[in-house]
Amino acid sequence: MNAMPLLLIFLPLITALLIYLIHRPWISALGFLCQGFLSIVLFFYTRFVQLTGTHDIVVGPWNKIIGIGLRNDSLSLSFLWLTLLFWWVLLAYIWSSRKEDYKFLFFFLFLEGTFMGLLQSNDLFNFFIFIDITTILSTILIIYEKDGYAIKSGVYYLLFNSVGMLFYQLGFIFLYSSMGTLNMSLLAERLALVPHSPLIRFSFLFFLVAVGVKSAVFPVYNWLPKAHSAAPSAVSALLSGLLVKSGLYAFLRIRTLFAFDFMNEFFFLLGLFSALSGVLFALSQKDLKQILAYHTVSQIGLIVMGLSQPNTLLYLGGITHLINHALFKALLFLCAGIIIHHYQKRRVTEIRGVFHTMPFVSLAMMIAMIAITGGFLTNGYISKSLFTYGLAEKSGWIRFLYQVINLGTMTSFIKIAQIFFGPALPDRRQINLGQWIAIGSLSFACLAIPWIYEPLWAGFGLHLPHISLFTPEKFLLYVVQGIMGVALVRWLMRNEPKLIRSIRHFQIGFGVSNGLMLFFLLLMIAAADLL
Amino acid sequence: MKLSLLLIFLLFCIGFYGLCVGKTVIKSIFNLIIAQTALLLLFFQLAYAPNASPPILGHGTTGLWVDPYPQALMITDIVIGASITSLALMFSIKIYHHYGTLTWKKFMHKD
Repeated sequence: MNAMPLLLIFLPLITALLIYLIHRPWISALGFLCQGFLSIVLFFYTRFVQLTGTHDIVVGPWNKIIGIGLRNDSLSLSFLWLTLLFWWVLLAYIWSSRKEDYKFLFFFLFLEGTFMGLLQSNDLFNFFIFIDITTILSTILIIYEKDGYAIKSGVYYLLFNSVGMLFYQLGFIFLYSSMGTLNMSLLAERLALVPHSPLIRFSFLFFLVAVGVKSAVFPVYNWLPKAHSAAPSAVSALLSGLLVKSGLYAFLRIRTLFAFDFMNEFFFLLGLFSALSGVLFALSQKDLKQILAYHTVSQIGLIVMGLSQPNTLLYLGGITHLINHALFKALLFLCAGIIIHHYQKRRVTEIRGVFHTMPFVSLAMMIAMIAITGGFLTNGYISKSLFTYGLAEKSGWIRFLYQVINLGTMTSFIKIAQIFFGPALPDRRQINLGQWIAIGSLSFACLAIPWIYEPLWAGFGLHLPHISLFTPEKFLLYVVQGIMGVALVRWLMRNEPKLIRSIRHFQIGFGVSNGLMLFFLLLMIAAADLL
Repeated sequence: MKLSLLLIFLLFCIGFYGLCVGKTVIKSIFNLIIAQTALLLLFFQLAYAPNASPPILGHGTTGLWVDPYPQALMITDIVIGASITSLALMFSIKIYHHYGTLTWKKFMHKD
């Protein structure tokens, strides 16, 4: 059993190396073999961990204080299953176009191994190493097509995330010099015993800066829309669905490590602001992938709002929304990729007649759009209802802003929906089998989750309270929001306000965004002092 | 001790200031390296103990050793930093080929 966590990391790495070294068409099928084997390993490993609760190992004959530790619990297992699902889907999606592109497959499978390592890592330094390798590999995947826009977004992404990780290093240096170890379970025990010196509090804040940069919250989210819209579509789906969650995963891990609650309210407000500004920027954009990328910012903001309130309904909403968002955002990006590839256009105002040209893709995309707006019978509905119930304890204006965010999301997806109408293109392209499987399985997941959500989340240790989620007034609210959204889109199309136009061309330079990161740190220090 | 910590803090500030005001990609990369070096020095400085021997077998005569853990970590850190630097430098060559400039403001506004 002790070899299984290592197998999960090294199997994709070895497969990636073999594919790159042997360099023959038949060897690419090894990717699927590796995935099948990983699924079997993870299945038995999950059953094993569910018996014991958590599973800790130390690699090699070292002491726990200095050795490389891996640890799995229900949180990391649910992330591992999500990772595995993502790589199955994306491998099917890219298969027909990339099966002889060994370099791409190498980076792609290597990324799976390092991401699985990141999820299981139980010491802060290894966590840092895995985050950095993930950043490097995803940069390479972003610039894979080597066009100008991709390269400038890639270098921005790489450098900005590296600057963010400087603060992570500062955090673990402070923590090591005061606690003498970097193993997370040991640290949690020791931190509970000692009084919290300024050094420890500062290291907590530094970790949070890095986490904020990685998960793209309010003042430091500028890299995300650039990187996610420049990448090839399969990679965008991966980045927006899964890799951006590595920051949120780090947030959960670090908060349970320190067990401080004085930043919870601050992060709640931060999430609210990033949700609002993401929606505002998304409304001003015209590029299809750019809109989707800004919606990632706003949905991440909602998730941060949820995750910042431990032991409440909001937390459950946040963590279920995290998984649901991964599914429907990947579906959106994959469909958008097929549409953009077929039309060779990216602006939503120029693409027309998708429904008649590609009925299956547009159906899948509609399911994802209903899910992201929180419509009935989709997985987004479950988590958004949990949010609504959780926010009932908050003050009125927060609930109002939450409804504004929902309305904004609705409006910009109605704006995207105009690509479905219009006459069909003369050449109706059949999508290939791999893409069919990828899109079909993701839409099936979006539609199936509302029926089985209670046993599904319970399997990963999330026990949802029995509240009636399907109520008529929610349906009414959704319909009213839809009507308001249509009216807003028509108004925005007819007379575009100057504000929207200036927001569209608003760009933050690299130096200024580093300054914003510093501002973010100062803001947190001030908030920690106040609270 | 106090003085060296102050110098390290100053070095970090120089690096971060450069990151905030640097106008080209190359300057940003260099300032990133400067800030990272300051962090390496900080970790070594915090692990340092006066009159301690290096943590090598056969060197321990005083019974007091320097903590080897930070050094092991920082070696890995240097490797990661070097790979990020080389990747970013390679990108800057590509950017220069595409846009003919390395100034952030100029190439970020071009399509």
